[in-house]
Amino acid sequence: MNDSTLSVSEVSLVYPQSPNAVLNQTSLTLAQGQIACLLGASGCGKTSLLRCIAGFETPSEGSIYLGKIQAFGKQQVLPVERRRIGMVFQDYALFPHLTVAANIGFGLKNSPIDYHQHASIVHDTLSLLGLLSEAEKYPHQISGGQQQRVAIGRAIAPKPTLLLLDEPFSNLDLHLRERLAHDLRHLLKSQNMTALMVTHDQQEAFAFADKIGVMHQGKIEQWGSADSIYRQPQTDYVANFIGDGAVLTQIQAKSLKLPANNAGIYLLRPEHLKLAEDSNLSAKIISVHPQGHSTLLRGICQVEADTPIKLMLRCDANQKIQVGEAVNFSLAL
Amino acid sequence: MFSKSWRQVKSLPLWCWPLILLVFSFLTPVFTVLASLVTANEKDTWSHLVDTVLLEYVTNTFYLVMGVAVGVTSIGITSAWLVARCDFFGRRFFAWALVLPLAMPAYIIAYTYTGLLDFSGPLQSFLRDTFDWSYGDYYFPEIKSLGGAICMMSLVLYPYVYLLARTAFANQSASLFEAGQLAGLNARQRFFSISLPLARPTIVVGLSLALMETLADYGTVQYFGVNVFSTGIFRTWFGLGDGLAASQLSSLLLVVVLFLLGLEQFSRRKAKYVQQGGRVLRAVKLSFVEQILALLFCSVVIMLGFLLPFIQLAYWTIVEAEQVFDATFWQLTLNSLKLASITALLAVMLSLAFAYMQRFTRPNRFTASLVFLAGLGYALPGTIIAVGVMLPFSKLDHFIHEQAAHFGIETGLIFSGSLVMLVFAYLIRFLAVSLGNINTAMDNITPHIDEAAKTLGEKTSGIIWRVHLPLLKTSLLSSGLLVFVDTLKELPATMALRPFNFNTLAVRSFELANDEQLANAAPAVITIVLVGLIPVIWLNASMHSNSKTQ
Repeated sequence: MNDSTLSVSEVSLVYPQSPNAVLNQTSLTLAQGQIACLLGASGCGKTSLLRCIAGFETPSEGSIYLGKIQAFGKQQVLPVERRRIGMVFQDYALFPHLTVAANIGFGLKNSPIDYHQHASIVHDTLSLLGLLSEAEKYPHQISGGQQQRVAIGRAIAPKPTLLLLDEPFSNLDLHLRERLAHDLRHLLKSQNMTALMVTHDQQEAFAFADKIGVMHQGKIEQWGSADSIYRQPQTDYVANFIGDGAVLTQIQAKSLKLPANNAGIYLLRPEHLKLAEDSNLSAKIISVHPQGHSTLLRGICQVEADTPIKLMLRCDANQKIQVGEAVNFSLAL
Repeated sequence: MFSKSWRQVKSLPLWCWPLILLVFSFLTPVFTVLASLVTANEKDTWSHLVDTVLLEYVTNTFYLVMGVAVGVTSIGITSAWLVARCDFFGRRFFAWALVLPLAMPAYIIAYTYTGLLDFSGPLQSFLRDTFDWSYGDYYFPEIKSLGGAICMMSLVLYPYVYLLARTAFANQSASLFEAGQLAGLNARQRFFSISLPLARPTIVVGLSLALMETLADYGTVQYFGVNVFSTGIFRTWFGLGDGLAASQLSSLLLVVVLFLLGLEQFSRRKAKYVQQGGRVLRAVKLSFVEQILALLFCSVVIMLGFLLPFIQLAYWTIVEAEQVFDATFWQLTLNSLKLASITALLAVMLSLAFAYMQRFTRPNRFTASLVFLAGLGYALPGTIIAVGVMLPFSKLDHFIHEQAAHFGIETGLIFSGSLVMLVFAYLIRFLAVSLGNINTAMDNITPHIDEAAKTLGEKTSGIIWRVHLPLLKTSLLSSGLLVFVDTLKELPATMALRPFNFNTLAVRSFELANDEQLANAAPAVITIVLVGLIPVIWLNASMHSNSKTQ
């Protein structure tokens, strides 16, 4: 049908007990070696989409292709165990009765890989993930970060056609996540692995993925690179969901002389503004949020427009600005 | 609502149906017994019972239950508090040893204490020799009495309260007590207004279990000659030969049992709300005098509930029993082991099947409630199960016999008086033990584990074989062992339902004890106790390792 590793077209998912569709004619494609991320607030359907691709949920319509094989369609539903998909679960779901090495080797028995290669694959995977010294330990004897690496190793050892990751970093320390996402990306790229991750964390998504799909109410609102969804959001939802800032009405934007992006959205990010004594634009500060390296200010600007503009801007950490103070600012596009 | 449940029933796979039928057959004793209430009895046994002994059954049962309730809660809570919250010499040892009386069935310590305390026993002989008294010169409490029965049962049933209360006390969050301290409560006030109310639902669960055992007891009360429901049911059935009246009597007992069951289930639900984790308080170091008192209390409890009877039994076995390990003994042991192993094996297999029914059909309210129902038999006293199993099985036998007679085939009685019926009764009573155990272990295997195995190419059969069974191994073994020991100890149902001339360790020891051949009963009895110790020690060890890993 096509050359992509994963092709999801117009997949819908409806639960009998709820009136709203969890997935609403969602489509996406992934090329071989591509790493993508589904990003969205909880309840947007991102995990459901992942579970449909894995085969744990049966869509009510649409089709899913893994390479040239139809995994889901009108005529056929391929059982999970024959999809050759690797999955990393949020809670890792390691087999507690098996050693690290046995966990990693679990899927090899059912894979087409020749029996004689199993031991060397386990060894290579352990060494790739830096787990050689933990090989004979049990999951409860190793740290959370190591458990996560075992989960990844177990999923990639049988050389699946596609790797799915369901919020794999959410059980780890906040400050580690971005770096781990970056490291994991590097690892998967080195193996030429096609991967799709689900997360609600933008920094994670930005660090991990070639392509990001922002999901909202069972639909992918925008599918593109990190840069394009940040700079060129195609819908109001994406503009509001990604990054800081405010979406202005046309009249408000006109009063600030803010141009629209290529989708016709007037997006005002903090980095679009700077404090400027000599500017004729002024905002009343309603809250001050010191963030160490700089300070984020929330303010209200009343220009000729009838509705006041809520905006955010940044200033140096050493600038002491009080709530209630009026500051002058200018546009710095 | 109705159509939804019907859809859930219809969607069940084929292999679930035998299990569903089995659950309904497990409920037959309850239905039989309840049905007897509305069945007219042609004999006038019932009015005879009402005129003579019924009131005595009611009041004695009431006093027995109340007495045991006071006994087990006071011993159980005190020992649990000491071990969980106080630091004294020997605390770790006592935490372990206080569970030991669980291995002693009440009827067994009843024999031994009778041997120790009656007129010809060592204690009274010693008193007479020392003070040169003779019969009638002194007052000595009669062990074979209602009070005696209360003491016996309290001494071996308190571990139910102790175990649950200990966990509840040990896990109470330290911040609550610190809040209490800040509010100006002293230690005594903190116990009564924070600790105890928080542990109360858990304690009530333990208490209900202990009281169910009290109502189920037959050996102790029969041996002591205390007329309560369980002895009354037996006498009406075998003495007066009126199965229907026995069943009607059982239905009264059933009401009390169902009340306890409701109380237990309600408290379990409540106990979940007050469950809390977090930092726990460190045990309070006791003063020297307090340590002596704590040590004394725990030692006396273990002494009376386990050590003294055990020593007496060992003495009888070694010194006084005329025949210890003769052919009869081995035959009895073999019979008991056979019955207990068959029951344990079946119970484990059925529990596993029920656990899978729940896992593979989830979420399905129908199967969930079926599994719940399948595990309710533990509340039923052996006497009720015996009555409730015997009546329908003999009806079935007569039916088969008559039908076969039409074809000129002589079937005789197939089920009644066979081991099939006995094992069936055991399963009703003890399935809960293995079911609860295995279900918990099954629930601990998260659905993600199955999903992970599936993404790794494993089919359902492979998941069961490579993942579930290895993970369930320990709980399959331990629950089998628990059912094994419970079956070994069971007395009333075995007495009532065993095939003619088929004897077990428990039944034979009861017969010997009733013939006042206490010493000769000892070898059989001590075998029961020793086997019963295995799961108790295992339980202790696993609880210890659990608290270590947490």
